[in-house]
Amino acid sequence: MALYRISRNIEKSTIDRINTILAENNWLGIAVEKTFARIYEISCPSVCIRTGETAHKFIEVGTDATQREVQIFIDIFASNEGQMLDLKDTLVECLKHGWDYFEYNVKREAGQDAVYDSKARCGRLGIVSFTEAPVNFNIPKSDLDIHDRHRWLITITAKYSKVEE
Amino acid sequence: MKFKVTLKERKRGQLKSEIRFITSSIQEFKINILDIGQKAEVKMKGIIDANRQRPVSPHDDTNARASRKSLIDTIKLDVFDSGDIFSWGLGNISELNQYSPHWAMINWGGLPPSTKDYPTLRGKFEPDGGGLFRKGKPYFPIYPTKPIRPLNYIETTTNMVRTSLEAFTNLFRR
Repeated sequence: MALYRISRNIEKSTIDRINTILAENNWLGIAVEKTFARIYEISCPSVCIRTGETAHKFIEVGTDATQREVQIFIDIFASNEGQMLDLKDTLVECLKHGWDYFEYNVKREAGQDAVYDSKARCGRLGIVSFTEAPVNFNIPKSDLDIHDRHRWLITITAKYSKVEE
Repeated sequence: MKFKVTLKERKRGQLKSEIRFITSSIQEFKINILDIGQKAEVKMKGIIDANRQRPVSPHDDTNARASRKSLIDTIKLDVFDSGDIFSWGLGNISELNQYSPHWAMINWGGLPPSTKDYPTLRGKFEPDGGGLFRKGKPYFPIYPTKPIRPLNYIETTTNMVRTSLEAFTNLFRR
């Protein structure tokens, strides 16, 4: 049995939240991945979650306690323009309120990939800033790979509610 | 971003000195805003440089096309100061599209176009030269299969500018 550390918990919590949003809004057959290259091996529509820079801010003088602000990139790879706009609006509407942070236990057996065993709610990810923009390569869409034709990027800066001593 | 300055009851003659104070404060304000821009330029170029996949850019060699520049060289800080309006921007979109059109693919990642999409895109790989792709003979078609990993240098720099501006404007809040 092993415990994921904070960054991986944030990624996995975000993936779980997006999966829930998609299920609640009847979006079926959308894969949510965290490996960018993997997106190009599966069909659209799909969503890719990545974490970027993390800032650790000291919360007060006289203590080493910090609170982290992490940048989360949500790449949407849609099959068409309309689907892209609907999908990103669905995610934006739900994610802007923040979401729960979970700590995940995984178990790994010799020669096998880690499997999620259990999770426990241990805080919340609150939104500090939120931007969204289309991904435009300035290349005619017909010349692009099918995955790159209808893309949207949501960039979230989220604050983890727990203070790290 | 706009700032509103309100002058309350003042004694005779006090207004002139206060206007002088405000004028010098505006200059100081501009210097601080410009400083954030310069730091953003360093940050953006630093992200790109730290994530170079090859030590030598194909455009550094003598056979390089003059119409192409390295992305780091194309990104420049443009400052606009008309007296009333002071602003800066990082990277001129027209120049980027002209000299470094790969800026978008490096920022957002993706699968680069192949010879199928651009019939003139033919060339050769030189494994001994750091795996560089050079246009020219013997003209093999190129079919990339591995996507370019996104650097998101724009979004990361934007976040840095946001936090720097917040910290700076907090100094003016009561």
